[in-house]
Amino acid sequence: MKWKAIRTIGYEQDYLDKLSKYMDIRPVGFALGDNLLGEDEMITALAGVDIFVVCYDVITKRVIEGCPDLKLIASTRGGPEANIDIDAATAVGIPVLYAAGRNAQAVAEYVVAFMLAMARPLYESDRQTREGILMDMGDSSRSRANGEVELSTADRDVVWPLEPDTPAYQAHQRLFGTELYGKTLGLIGFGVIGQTVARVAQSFCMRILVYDPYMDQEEIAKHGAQSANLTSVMSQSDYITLHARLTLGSVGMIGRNELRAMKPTACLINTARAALVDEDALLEALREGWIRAAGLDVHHQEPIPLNHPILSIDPERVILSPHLAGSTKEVTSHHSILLTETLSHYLEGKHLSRGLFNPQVFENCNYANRGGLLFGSLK
Amino acid sequence: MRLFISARFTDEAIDFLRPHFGEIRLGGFRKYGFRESGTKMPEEELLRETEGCEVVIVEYDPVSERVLSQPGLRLLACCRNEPEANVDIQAATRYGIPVLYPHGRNAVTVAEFAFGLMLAIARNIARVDYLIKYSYELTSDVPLPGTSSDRAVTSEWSLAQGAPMWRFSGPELCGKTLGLVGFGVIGQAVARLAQGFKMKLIVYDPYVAPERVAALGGRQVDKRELFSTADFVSVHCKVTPETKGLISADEFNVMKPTAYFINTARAVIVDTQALVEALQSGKIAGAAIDVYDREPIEPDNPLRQLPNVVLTSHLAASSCDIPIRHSMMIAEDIDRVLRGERPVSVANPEVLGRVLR
Repeated sequence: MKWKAIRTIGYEQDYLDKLSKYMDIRPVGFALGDNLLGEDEMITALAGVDIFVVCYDVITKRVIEGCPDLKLIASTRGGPEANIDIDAATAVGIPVLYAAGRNAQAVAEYVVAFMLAMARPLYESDRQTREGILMDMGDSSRSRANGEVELSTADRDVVWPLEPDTPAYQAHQRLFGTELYGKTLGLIGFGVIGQTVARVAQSFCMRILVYDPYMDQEEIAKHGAQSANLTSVMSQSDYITLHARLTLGSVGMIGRNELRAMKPTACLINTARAALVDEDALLEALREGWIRAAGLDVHHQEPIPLNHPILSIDPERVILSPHLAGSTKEVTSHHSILLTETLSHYLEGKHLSRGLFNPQVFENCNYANRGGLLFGSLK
Repeated sequence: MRLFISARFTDEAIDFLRPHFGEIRLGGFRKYGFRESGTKMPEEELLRETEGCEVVIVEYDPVSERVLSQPGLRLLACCRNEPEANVDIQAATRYGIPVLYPHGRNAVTVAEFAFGLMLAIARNIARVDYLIKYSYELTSDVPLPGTSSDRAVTSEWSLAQGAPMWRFSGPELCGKTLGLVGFGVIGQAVARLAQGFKMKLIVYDPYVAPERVAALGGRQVDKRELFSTADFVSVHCKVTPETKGLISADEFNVMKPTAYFINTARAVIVDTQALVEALQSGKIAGAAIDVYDREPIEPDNPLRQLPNVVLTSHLAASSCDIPIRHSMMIAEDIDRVLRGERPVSVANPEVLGRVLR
């Protein structure tokens, strides 16, 4: 007898084949290119279904209470709490499996991209080059008319020569920057994403400081990083990147005090959740120059409304991207590998070191009649 | 002894050298910065300022035979990668004067920039940053209900077909193949950073020893294999008669349509028309360019109109950290020579036999 499953997310075929050995798995909704399921559609789709392989669909308490057959939720996300009511699932004995770290590499590379673009103003230079601000057309056409040497780089080694004291020259001089080499990167949160960021940053010879109240010093030191309190990280780092989970305790954890503590040459990067940062404090910090720049992939309102104050901040002090740090072409492959392994281990009754979001479900009295029926059912 | 410095040179490096010198004179750009006469010292001024000096540190000032022939001059340091561009090295050799230079002072600078470019084009970050700030394409005139501290929000920009996650997602660097054309000190710095991204490394450079490539986890290949296998191609070779026009339509034709081309070296190495054609026809996924056939770039340059390219204004080596690095590199090498030891980098090593006991 095979368990019945539906999936509302893309999944690599090879791994679907592996899963098909122990479950009949049917694509629904988003997996077919349709919209996410609403509550009633979800309840209907889950009738008689044991396992829900899900990504973005919002699983509310009402859905959970309306699906007596559901025994296991398997999320392909690294942060399933964003759209699944974990407490409600736990209360009825449903374990929530997830693909921890499926986008760790994608996010880490985006964070490094932001740092490199804040060390040297890549995007600003790209815009100015395209828009002709750095072309100094007047002066160079004048010198050509005078019969002076053409500014060809094939024969003469020239580096963007411009007449000193022209606006173009001044614009170009402002594009000089710094290097990451030898600078200090501060990480707020040191889970699998934070650890991946640290690993890449170390190859740039950056010094790594970590604030993570859930990890001890020795554990952090094993990754070649140094544990520090929040104030030390904020005041000593040249770049600070947020990788903490959003909880009641971490909302607004980066506020006026934290931003004021930063060096005026330091930069803040947020690819985690916008609510970790007090938005008004950040706007003030950027306007007043408490910090040099911010790289923001997540926003208090998404899409950013066109009259949002962040859009009137000096564009050289902010990088804005539309929540893409965790989006790469490889993420589907990563979640297929991770979740298939976690699901197989669960069904084989193996201990899960990672991949179970709510281990407290084992203590729940309803577990035996729900998730408990699947655990080890393949032995 | 007397020391003269016209290069950008830090106070820390000067303090490091102080024990060797009774007098340290600052002049030229180090003392005056930009002047009406320009940034380079005229010969007469340099002769005056270096009279009686045993050690001279310049950066871009021309150093002629007249300057080098002054009695008492023992050692010259030129704070740039190509000292031959402004120093008469042959004359220095004739007078037995070692010419020190900070070989690779900008290797890390350029390597970091090359990765900045790779990520900017592959993940479309330059494009989305621009669209959010300067267009209405990605902003909304309808604020979403609630904010992202409300857990019910799925926190994706949108999942609809035309949404950013479908239009602007790109590849990870991890596990991809980086192909380097040229493996000198800059190429090697790039290779070190590539290890942090867990990229596979292949190298086309007929002049580098295979052990050097292997030591950085890479494999030496011929030109065709490099261009046809790499997911990212980055150019790091010098301009020589052999490398002018080294990369043309033949190379772009064999590249993968998902591959990216990065050039922080010199434009003359690449056939720009072939590059434009490759970008327009989708032969390659995108490119990031820092160097051009004419600089500043001319208004009608076709690269400016292409959507799948990042264009920066020759900034790869533009870092305020370089003078800090070259100051200590030169200071340490001057110290070595004055104590009778071999320096780390000298343009005319044949002179050392006479100079060091």
